[in-house]
Amino acid sequence: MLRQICLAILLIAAPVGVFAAWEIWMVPAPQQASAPNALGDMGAFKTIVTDVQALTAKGDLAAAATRITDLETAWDDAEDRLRPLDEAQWGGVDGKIDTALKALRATAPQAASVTEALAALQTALDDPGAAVGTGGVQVVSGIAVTDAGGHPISCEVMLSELASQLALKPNLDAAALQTKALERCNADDDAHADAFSAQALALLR
Amino acid sequence: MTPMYNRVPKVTADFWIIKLLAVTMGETAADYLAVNLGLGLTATSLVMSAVLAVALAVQFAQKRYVPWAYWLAVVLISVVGTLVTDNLVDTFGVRLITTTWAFALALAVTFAVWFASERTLSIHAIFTTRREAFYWLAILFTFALGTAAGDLVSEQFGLGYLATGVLFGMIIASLAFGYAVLGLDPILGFWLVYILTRPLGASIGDFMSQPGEYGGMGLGTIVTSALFLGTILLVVTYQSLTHNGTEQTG
Repeated sequence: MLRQICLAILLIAAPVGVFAAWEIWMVPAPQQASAPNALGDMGAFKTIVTDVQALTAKGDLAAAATRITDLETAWDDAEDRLRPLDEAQWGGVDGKIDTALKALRATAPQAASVTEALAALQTALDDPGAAVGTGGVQVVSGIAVTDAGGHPISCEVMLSELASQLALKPNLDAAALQTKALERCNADDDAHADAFSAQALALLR
Repeated sequence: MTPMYNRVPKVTADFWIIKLLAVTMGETAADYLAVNLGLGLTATSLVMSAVLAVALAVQFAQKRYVPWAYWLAVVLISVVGTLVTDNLVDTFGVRLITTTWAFALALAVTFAVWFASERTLSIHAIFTTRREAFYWLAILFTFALGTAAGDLVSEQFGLGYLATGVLFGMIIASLAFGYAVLGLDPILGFWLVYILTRPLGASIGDFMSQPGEYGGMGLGTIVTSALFLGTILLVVTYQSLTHNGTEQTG
C-alpha cells in the first residue's frame, strides 16, 4: 500500500520535474523577451561611461565629474531623436544618468555610490528594455495585474473587486469589459482576464 | 439466479478515448452554455444539474452497461463538474486552492467509505446499486478535483493551453509506464489517470476553441463541442454494435 503510493508520487513527480526544468532553462523568461532595445546604438554613451568608470577607479572623481558632463550634453542633444522611439526606455536610462550625475556632483562625492550608479547606468545602456518596470509587478492602465513574482493575479479576485466597484458606480463600458474578462476567466486565461478587469477598474476611478 | 452484470465498461483503449473526448467536450460546452445561454452561471449550473440527475436515473435503471446511457452520464458530469467549479470560484469567491483540497478530501472520504462498505474499490465488480452509487460519486469528485487542480495549475503558472496539455499528457504517460512496467496498482493508476484526463481534456478543448489572439486555434466552442460530440457518438455507436451487452467479469 505505502509502496504503491510512493511509486505513484514518484511517477507524477518525475514528468513534473522534467517539465519544470524545461520551462525554467529552455524557454526564455518573458521579462527578458518583453522589451527589446528600442533606442538603437548606445555605443557613444557607453564609451563616455567607460571613461568615467576608469577615472573613478583611479580615484580622480573631479576628472570623472568633468567627463560625465560630455555624457549629459550628448544625451540632451539626442533627446529629440531618442525620446520618441520609446518614452519608457528613454525615461529608464535618463533616470540612471540623473542618479550618476547627482552622485558625482555631490558636495562630497562618495566613490562607492558613484561606482554603483555608473554600473547601473552601464547596465541600462546595455539593455534599455530591462531598465523599464524594474519590479516584477506588471501594470495595465495603472493597475497591478501580477504579483511581485510576475504571476497573474487570480482573475476571480480581480473580477470580484470589479463587480463590487460596478455595483457602486454602474458604467456601460466597464460592464462590457467585465463581460470580456469573465469570458477569458472562464477559459482559464488569467492574464487576459486581468488586463480587461484592470481597464474596467481604471474607467471607474 | 439472475446473472451478475458489471454496470460500467471495461477499461480499454476506446474507454480512455471517449473519456478524454467527453471531458474536452464538457469544458467547451460548459463555456458555451455559461457565455451564450444568457442565464448566468448559477442558473446554468442548476439547469444542467437537473439534466444530469435524469441521465443518472436512466443509467441506474439499466442495471448493466449500456454505452449510450453510461457515456451520456459521463458527458453531463463533465459539463456540470466544470460549471460547479467555475460557479464556486467566480460567483461565490471560493479560492481555487480551497476547492482543490476540498474535492481531494471529498474523494478520499468517498474511497474510504466505499472500501469500508464493500472491502474493494474494484471497477470490475460494480454489480449492485450501492457499488454503482459509490462509483458515480467518485467519478463526480474526480471531475471536480481535476477541474480545480487544472485551473489552479494554469492560474499559478500561466503556461498557456498547449503547454498545460503537454504537462498533463506527460504525467499520464508516466503513470501508464508505471502500470505497464513498474507494477503500479491498476485501481490506483486508474483513478489517478481518471483525475488527470480532466485537465488534459480541458486544455485540449480550450486550445482548440479559444481565439488565436489568446493562444488557441480559434475553432470556437460550438464547432469544437460538435466535433467532439460527433466523435463520441461514432465510438459509442461502434461499441453498441460490437459489444454483447454483458460486460461480465471473468
